[in-house]
Amino acid sequence: MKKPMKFYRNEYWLAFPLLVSGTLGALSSVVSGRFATSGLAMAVGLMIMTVGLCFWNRNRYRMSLQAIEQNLSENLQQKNDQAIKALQDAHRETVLQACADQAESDRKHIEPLLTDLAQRFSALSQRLGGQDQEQTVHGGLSVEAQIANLAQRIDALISHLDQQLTNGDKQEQSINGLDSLCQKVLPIWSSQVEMARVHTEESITNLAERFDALSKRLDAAVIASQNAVGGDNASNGGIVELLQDSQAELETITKALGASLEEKDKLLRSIEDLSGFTEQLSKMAWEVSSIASQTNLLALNAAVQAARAGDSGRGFSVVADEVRKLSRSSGDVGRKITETIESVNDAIEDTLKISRKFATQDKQTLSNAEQIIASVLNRFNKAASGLSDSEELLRTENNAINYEISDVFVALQFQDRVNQILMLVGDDLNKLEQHLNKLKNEQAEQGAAPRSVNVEQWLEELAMTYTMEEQLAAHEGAKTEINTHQTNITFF
Amino acid sequence: MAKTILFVEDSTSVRTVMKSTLTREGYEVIAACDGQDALSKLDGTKIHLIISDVNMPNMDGLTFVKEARQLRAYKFTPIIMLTTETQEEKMNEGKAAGVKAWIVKPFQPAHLLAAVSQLIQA
Repeated sequence: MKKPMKFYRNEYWLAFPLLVSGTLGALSSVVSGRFATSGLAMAVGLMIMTVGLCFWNRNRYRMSLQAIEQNLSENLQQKNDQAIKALQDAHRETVLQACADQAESDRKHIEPLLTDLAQRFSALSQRLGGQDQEQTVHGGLSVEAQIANLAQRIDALISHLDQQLTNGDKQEQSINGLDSLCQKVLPIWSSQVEMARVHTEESITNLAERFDALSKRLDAAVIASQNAVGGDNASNGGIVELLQDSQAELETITKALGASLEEKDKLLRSIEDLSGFTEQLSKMAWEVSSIASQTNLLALNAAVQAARAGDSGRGFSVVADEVRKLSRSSGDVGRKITETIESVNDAIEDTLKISRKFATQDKQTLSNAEQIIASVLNRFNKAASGLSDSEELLRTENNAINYEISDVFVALQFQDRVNQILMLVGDDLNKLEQHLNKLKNEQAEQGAAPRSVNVEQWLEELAMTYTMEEQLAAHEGAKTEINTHQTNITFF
Repeated sequence: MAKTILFVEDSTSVRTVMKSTLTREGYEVIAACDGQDALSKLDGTKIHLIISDVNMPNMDGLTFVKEARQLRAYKFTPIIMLTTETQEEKMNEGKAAGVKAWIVKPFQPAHLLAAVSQLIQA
């Protein structure tokens, strides 16, 4: 088997039939040469043989591969099975051993416990006046016989039994202790709950008042700022109106100043007109002077004529002399007038100069004043618009804060809920205390009367007192979530 | 003219908060701390709306509402109950007594104001 396997592993085996057919061909050529057979028939025969050989080889190869594969897998499977079996056996043995050990140790552990338990049962049943006869009987039996029966009871009973056995004779007193403890502690709890309730109420009321005051002050601030900026719709105008008024008033002042400047201009023009009159005056003075000089000339001619006339003209020469004196003095007057006019002219000129200077200064002052007023008003306007902006900001802030405060008010209402919950708990504590007192009194009157509290009924009664869903939910042990933002309104 | 609201509530904090909220909205508010106190304030004064808690000492809200309905001046005054109470039967009791709206605490002041203005207009 091994030899063909090695051979078949590569592709050379395909040459094997060719080799065989080649050898046969050579042989047949020899044979055909000897026996004179047709070469063609021989070739055909050879081809058939070659093909046959080829198929035979392939089949044989396939079959041998399959055989090898089968053989191998069988071998492997067998070995595997053996190994697994061996492992399983070993494991089972260990597990069995471990289980046995565990069982043994458990048994050793349980045996004394059960014995002890049986003894306790017996002692207890004796103490309880033979109520647990069954257990007592079991206590007398062997440990093995009890296992099935007791195993079911162990878990439930052991803690109970332990407790009862440990307390033993003190059973009566311990319940009495609980009674008096309850009677003492319940009023304390109750007063603590009440105190917590009162504290919460006081501080939350205080908080509510503060928030209210806060909200009111905020409102007042907003209104004040609004009034400062825009006025309060009554007699008092806001800063904007004040600015407008001031602007108007300042404008009237500048207008008045402008008007007075115009008046001054008119005055200047009148003065300028005056200088025109002085020219006429100086012309008239000049005419007076020329008349005087002509009169002088005339008087001189008259004096000459009077001298020619001799004695008869003597009187006339006196007159001519006087006329000459008069003409001289009128010439003097004319000169004086001219001089005076000149000095008047100078004065007017000076006045005009000064007045013009003042006028220019006044105009400058006025335009400066206008500019200053404009810039001041501008600044005020800016300040006012800034104020108005901040007033707007204040208003939006106020709205936001009011919204927050309304949320706070919602939260503050929880005090009412907490109050009711705490009051209910306090009432229930009081009720329990009274119930215990009543039981104690009854016991004192009737001796060892049965003392019991109907827990179910108690809880039921408590549940009836609830007013809120979450109280009931908490009573039933559920976690409650409180929706603070949805108002539950039902209209009828 | 300002409308008058009688506000009956045993919790001081809620009373403070609501009194200020309603006053700010321009309502006249008469506050009472329980049903008995509230009844003593129903002396014929014109009241446009009553808002009352349910669970209160001395006299609870539903008893107060029933008593108030006996008085001629307040026979048709709209009433809003403002309470932590959610029990169906209490609500039905209120409805039978002529309560117009049942608001469960905690409430948004704005929502209460909306309900108030709705009922006071009607």
